[in-house]
Amino acid sequence: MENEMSITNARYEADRNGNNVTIIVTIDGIEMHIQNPSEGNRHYAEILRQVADGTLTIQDAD
Amino acid sequence: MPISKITATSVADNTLTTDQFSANAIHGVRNLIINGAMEVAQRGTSFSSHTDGYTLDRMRVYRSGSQDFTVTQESDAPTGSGFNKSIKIETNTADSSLDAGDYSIFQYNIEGQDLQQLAYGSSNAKSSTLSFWVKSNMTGNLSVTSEVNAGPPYLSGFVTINTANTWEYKTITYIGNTSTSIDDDNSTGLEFQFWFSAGSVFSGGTYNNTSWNSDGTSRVNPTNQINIQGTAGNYVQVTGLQYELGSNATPFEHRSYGDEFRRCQRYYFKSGSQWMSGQSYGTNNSSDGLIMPIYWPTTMRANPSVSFSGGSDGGSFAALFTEYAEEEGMSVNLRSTNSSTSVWWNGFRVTADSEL
Repeated sequence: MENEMSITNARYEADRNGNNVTIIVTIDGIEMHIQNPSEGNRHYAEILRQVADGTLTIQDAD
Repeated sequence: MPISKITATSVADNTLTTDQFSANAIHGVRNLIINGAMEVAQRGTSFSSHTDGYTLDRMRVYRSGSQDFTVTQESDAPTGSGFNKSIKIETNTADSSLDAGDYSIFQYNIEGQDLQQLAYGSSNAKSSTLSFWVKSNMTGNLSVTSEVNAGPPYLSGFVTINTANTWEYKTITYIGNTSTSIDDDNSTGLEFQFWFSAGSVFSGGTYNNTSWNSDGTSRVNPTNQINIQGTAGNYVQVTGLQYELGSNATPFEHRSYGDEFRRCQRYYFKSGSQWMSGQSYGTNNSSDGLIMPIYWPTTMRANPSVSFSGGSDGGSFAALFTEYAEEEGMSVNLRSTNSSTSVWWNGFRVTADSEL
């Protein structure tokens, strides 16, 4: 059973080749960096779920 | 078991059984719980106004409702038990209205690939036993649900807390599940939920603690279930948490602090407070910068979520990014966000979270 995490300020971070290798996101008040993709990571799974539900948008890399 | 008791006759006439071996023999690495003695506390030893998250290593507390908790590592344990620490979950803000969907849960998850010896999903599925010490100001029943692959199916058990404010030793044996196999991977294979409060959504069904089922409404014994959330100051303490193969609880397997600490680092790593420093030239807004590789002390369960904290950054243009964060390690990139300004960062901490 899972509680819904509070996820805000999601954005991609690109590597030197322009690939969106990281998602930077604030989860329950803490900024976290999560490799994209990261199968098995519970935060990553929740980000995907909230994006699919339309409640979270990941901003493009700068 | 004394070696003198093991004879050809005792084996042949079935006096000596597998269960007796489980109960008496000394095995290696019996306990499938990590940090069951509640010794390791990388995240800290006190969590105030806690609503959801990991606390002491591997130990998660969460709730639904408006209650919150103070979770602490206590230097209080059963006298003479060999334990010196326990986890204490105490209601800070009460929610006296136990709504249908409310719950307060203390949870422990085990990776599926560490549970294949249970042979779930086959006719040879094995029984297993959970044991622990518990102390509470409340008396009554405490349900503990086992859930395969994070459930369903469920199998509930419960213990009775008989005397308030007194350490009591409890065991629950779960029969093997012959229908559902545990995924042989790094995801949650079994989830144990200790229900410190539960609304009717979880306790309103026909209680069944004798067979695996998919009825989520029967996970909690509705009779005399404790309710931690009703009054501020209600508490439950736990230590000596052990889960093992077999129908009998054996004495707690005490492992060294270093051994337990390293096992915990598969799920959570916290570096020293002044772990890394660096200097980077100004570049064209984050294209390069200083790359610092980090290797975790042990392979983590999955790609972790990484965070940075502390240190001083030498100006507003300094930024820390993660290029890669994988099971074996990561690379930190110190960049300048201004192409004409060099930056530095002195002494920052890295944490990596790969919990289930």
